[in-house]
Amino acid sequence: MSKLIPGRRNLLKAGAASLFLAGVPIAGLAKGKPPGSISVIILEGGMDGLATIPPVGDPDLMRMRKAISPEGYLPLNDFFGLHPSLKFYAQLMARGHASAVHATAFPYTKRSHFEGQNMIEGGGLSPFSEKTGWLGRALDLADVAGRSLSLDMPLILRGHHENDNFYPASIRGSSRPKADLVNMIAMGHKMEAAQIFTKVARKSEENVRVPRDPASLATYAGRAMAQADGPVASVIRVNNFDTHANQVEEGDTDAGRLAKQLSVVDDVIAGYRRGLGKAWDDAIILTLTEFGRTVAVNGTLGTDHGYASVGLLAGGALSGSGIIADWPGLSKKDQFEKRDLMATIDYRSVCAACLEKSLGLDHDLIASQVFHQPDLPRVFEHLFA
Amino acid sequence: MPQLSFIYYYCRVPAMLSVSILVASLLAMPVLAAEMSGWSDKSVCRLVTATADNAAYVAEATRRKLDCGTGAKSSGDEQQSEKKLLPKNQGIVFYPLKLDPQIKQQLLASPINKTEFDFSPYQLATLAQPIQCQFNLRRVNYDNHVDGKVENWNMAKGSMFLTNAGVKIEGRWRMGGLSKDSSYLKHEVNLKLTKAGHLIGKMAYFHLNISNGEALKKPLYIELKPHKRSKPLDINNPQTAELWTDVEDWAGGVWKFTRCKEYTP
Repeated sequence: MSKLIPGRRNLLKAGAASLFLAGVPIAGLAKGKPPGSISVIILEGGMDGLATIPPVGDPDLMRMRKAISPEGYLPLNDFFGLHPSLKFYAQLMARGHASAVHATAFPYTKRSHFEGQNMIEGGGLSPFSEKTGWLGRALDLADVAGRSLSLDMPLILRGHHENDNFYPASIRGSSRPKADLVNMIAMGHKMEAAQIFTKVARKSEENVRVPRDPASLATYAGRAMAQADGPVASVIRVNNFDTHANQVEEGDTDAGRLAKQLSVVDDVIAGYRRGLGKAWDDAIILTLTEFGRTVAVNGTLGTDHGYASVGLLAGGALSGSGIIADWPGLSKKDQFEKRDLMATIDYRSVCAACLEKSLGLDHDLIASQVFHQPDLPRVFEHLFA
Repeated sequence: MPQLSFIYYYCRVPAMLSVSILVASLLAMPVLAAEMSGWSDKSVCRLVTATADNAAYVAEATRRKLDCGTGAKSSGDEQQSEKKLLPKNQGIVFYPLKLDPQIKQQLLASPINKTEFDFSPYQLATLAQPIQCQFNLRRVNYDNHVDGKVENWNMAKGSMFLTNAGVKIEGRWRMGGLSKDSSYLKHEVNLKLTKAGHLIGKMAYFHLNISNGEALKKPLYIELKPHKRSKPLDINNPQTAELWTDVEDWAGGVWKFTRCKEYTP
């Protein structure tokens, strides 16, 4: 009986282990493989779509934001350019594997980070109206599991009981807890608690080492998703897009806070591409951001909270490269509340199209059961036809 | 006096309030109307669809008899109001890519994968039978040795399978940290054998030791090319080889192949 009494040191290790192991992935969660995979990159803070994909053909752009428009943009066509930080994304565009949707937003206009982030993850019609997320609900409908690459389970993935989260930790002594100890604790519990400890024991047998940066997580996610029985969805967060100040460096509009963060996004997409390998052909990656930024520049070489932004899409499942937009214009009279880029495309429609393609779900089903909006317009043909 | 105060508060104040509200409303209405008078019908409709809860926009649309695709009349129905919030996704245009041909060529020539390598300048081996070798990789230290000193420990070890399609490695790095992830030797290697018996290509390479608890470091992606100090593999009579590679100024690597033999997959 004395063997059942764990020592202080081992108990401490188990505590640390459960924290660490809660983030280690379990392979083979997916029950039936849908036609593709979907990965969401959440850009927290509100990304400036007008600097990411500058509408250089709009005469009002340079008039209103010359101080922060990237000079070294890549001309994509007569009307749109691409921020110079998105180098890998440019390669994908040249290969027909990347597109962007411009002047788009979730139906949220109040410019609060908390509410906006809740809206883009929950997919409801108003902030805090959903307890589950749109991706989680879609995975539930498709009967497949997802995986979160963050310490917590983000709202966007909630909705499926088999969703799992992963975040690598390097706590000394925590990577290999004593299986006997975990099993012993499991024996002392019943029902769900016992299942949790069994899960911990299973995870403890894995020893995964991945750097914490988003790009490495993307590579890891891509590799996991490329496996025959791997997950079909993943979520990665990139923060620091709230560029109220120093969005660009003084005298260099190609550098600054936004340029740095866009490089991270570029690396994440490259990481996915590398990790997915051949599975890239059926993959869709899309970005989400809670809102765009003001059209005008503020006094600190930055921009403030706005309305519409841009959505970046990548993946072999796309039918070609281009910019999808119903361009609203940038003149004062065309701006939302005389300050923001107007949204002309409901980004939920874009998400719905990506779900339709990757999970093989019917649009009407997605519209009514995922977004609770039965008449949500279908934009599938603009992205995948 | 108390009676007078009572009358004052219960009769005069509501009357004053009503008058104030009426005056404020009358003042505000022309201001709103004046603000929107210069706006296009399209803009008004967009505002109606985006912020249907704003009565001024709805009133302006109604005044102009605009339908706005949703019916701009305020129904008071919450569900109807939510619907008006949404952009209607009408008039979507696909702006196709029109990249400058030279830029497009440059972009297409850029590697998508970190291990992409152009093998075309090299004469690759054509093997009648695939070759299997045992290998170890050791560090060559140039810090205090101009010619380099081969250190007496293995950075990586395992079996290498050389085929016409490429090189497959079954083994493991021994550099700690990320190198413990076997997928690097499996997925992050793009090597081929040349006719002269050299390994060429690109691969993930862990040149630094990482102890437990240290911050993880990503591998370098190095190119392997024929090296003047190498003793290449004789593809007609494969037995041993010693293939050198440059990595950094202070260190390189040497692959030692032993027990090479042809095998049937």
